Amino acid sequence: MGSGMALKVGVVLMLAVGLFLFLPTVLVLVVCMLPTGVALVVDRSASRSGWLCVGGLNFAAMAPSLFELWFEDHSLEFATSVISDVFALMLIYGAAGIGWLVYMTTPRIISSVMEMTSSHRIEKLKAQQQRLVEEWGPEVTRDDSGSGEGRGRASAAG
Amino acid sequence: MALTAQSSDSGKQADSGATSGTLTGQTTMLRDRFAIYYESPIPDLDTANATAFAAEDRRQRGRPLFALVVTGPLPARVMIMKHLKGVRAAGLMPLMEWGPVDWPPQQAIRLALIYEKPAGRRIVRRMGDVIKAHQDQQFAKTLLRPLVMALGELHNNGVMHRAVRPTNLFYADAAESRIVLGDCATGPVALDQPVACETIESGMCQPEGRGAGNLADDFYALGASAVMLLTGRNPLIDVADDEIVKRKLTQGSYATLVSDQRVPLNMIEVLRGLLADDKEQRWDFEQLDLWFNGRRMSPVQAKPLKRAQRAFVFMNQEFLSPRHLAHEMATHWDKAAPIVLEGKLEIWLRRGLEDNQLADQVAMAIRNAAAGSQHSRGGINDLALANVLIVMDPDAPIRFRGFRAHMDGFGGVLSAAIARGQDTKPFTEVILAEIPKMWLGVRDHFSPEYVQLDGTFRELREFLIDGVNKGSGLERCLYEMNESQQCMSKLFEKDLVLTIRDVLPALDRLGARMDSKTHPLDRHVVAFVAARFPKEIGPQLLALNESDPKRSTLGMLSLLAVLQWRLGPEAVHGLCSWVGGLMGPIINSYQSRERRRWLEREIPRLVRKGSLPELYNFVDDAEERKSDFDEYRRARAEWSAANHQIKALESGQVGADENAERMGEKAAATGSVGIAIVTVAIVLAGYLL
Repeated sequence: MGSGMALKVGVVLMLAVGLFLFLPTVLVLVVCMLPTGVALVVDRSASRSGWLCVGGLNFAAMAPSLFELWFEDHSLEFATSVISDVFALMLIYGAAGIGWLVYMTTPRIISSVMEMTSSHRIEKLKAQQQRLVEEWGPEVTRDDSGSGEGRGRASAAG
Repeated sequence: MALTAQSSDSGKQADSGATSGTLTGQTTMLRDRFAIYYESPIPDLDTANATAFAAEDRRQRGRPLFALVVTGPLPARVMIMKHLKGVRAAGLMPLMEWGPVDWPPQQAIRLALIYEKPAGRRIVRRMGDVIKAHQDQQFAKTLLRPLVMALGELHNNGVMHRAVRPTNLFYADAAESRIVLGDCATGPVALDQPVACETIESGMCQPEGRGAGNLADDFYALGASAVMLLTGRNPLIDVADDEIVKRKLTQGSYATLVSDQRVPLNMIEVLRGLLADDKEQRWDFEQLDLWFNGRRMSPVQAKPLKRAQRAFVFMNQEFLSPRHLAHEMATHWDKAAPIVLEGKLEIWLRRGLEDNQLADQVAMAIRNAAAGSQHSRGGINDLALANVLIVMDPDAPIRFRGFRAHMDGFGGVLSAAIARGQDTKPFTEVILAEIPKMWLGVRDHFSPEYVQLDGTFRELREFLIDGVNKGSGLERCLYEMNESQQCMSKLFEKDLVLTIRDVLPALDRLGARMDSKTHPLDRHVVAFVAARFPKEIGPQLLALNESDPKRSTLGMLSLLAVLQWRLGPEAVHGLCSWVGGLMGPIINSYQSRERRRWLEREIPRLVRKGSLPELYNFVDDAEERKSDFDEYRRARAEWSAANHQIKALESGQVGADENAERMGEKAAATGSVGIAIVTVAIVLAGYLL
């Protein structure tokens, strides 16, 4: 119990030190990655991958500003100027919105494609069955197991 | 025997050739030689089953001939005709030719026999006619001897006449000095014989069941006819048939026929010899020949029957001999059965007749009937009585209620019953109850003929038991027992099918006008073929009787093909066309529709060739069948596989949305993260490079 508490205290201390040392970065990240945080909270899908989709584009849009902060002026002023730049924020949040949009639409697109493919395949198979029935008669649909399912299928195919 | 109806085209017009003589009118030709004037009947020469017409030999014009055309429903004795044609004897009306002819009056093919026309009249038109008695001393020499010689000659050629009676005797010349025997081939054997002219045993039979008989039967009939010629009348004309038999049994044939009539003294000896009731004592050809040559013998005396000490009373009559009693019992069937079963008869046989052996046989006969019979009480009674009658009078015909026939007369009974549309039940009952076996069991000596008969009747019984199938049943019995029986199929009403070789040509003639619904092999045709065809056709019959239309049709085609292959003719276009129209079930037995269409296209080509074997080989080609089967199996497997795939795809669609969502989310996340990585890399590169 003592060690657990110590670990927690250690982590909190490290975060506090980190927050103090990287405050500009933390500030930018917290403000700019807000949509990702929201996505993480509201995503109820089975895969729970919505935040990744939003976060990916969100981070991609934020990356130039973040690298600028890191490589040119890692100051609180510069960080404040970044998060107060409306155009930069619109770009970052817009990218996050696009990410959400992609997350919402991609499954439907894939579903439609898949459905289209299997329907076409079923049509082809039914046409093949119809050809067999025409050449060999309805008897060809007779199932060896004796079930009458095949005959029904033939009629449907016909 | 190849019988081919001669075309009568030439004869259907007024025949100029015939006008040169006294004969004129329409003709039909027999073997391109004998013209039959079918508009010139000669009723005086008619027989019971045939009509007489004027005829002419185109090679020897002026020769007196007449034709007997078999127009009746009963079968003619075809088997004896070929022998009869070659027989020439002074006492016989010679048969010049015979064969099928086109018969315009019935628009059919009928059997015609050409005889030399006797110059004189028929001696007696009806058995009741009274004529001038032939009392002259030359009777034996001029009238009787030629008839005996004729019968002897016929016998040498394997023919029993069995139609010797006064109404079938003709004066051969205008002076009425010679007599000839008339036709014996246009109707069933001995069918029209009066009981007076038949032996006791034959007289007991129904007319159709008298059987082929033998020379002794002919001599007996000759003796009876001689009595009637010598006395000028039939002494038994007013006596019922049954009474005639009874009198013959009690008094003997000679006494019954001659009675108080006056016959020339010199004839008594020969008449006694001819009319001897004991077959062993009856004069044969040698004895008659000796007598004609002047040798005189002591007159035959009837052997006394074993008589009982005390009489058996039945129907208020007393009987001393089992034979007489058996006849009376057969006559009063329903009254006799209870008496027999009660054992009174057995007691009388032991105590009255003192014949323990016969009594034992009677007891055994009753026990056999009761033990082996699956019948009702009445059926057991009938069977027991039939068995007992056989034991009591082994020489008598088999008697079973109204059925009375000799073993070789069964065929005649069945043939007549079918031809007349009468009940055939008595016939089937006798055979199914195995009464012939009982008859064979009481023979007192061995004969190979009995073994053959046993086998024959066993086969007949099997045919009757298997009566539902074509090639069995009554029809098969009919043709097995009647060699001369023409095929009685309704298809051949207008045709004449006498031998197995006639079947296909007759069907071929029919083929052109038959529809595709009528089957060429009905029960009669199949039974006829089965009985006459010398080769094994069991597999074809089995297939023919299958309930599956395809196998049945294949059996039909196979049987016809075998017939054509073995017997010809080379081409049967009409029949092929007919059969070709019945191939539906065989064509449909192929699964492939394309193959069916191909068969339908090809069959007419084969039909035009007229070859049934080729048609059979084509429609039942083993390789085609195998290919069809294999391909069909593959097609079924293919269909089934497709079905499974469809099912899989359809069931897959149910979860497709979830799957697509999951995949879409993953794809979107992956893409998004990828873009982030690329962007970071590019920006980082911009700072580092």
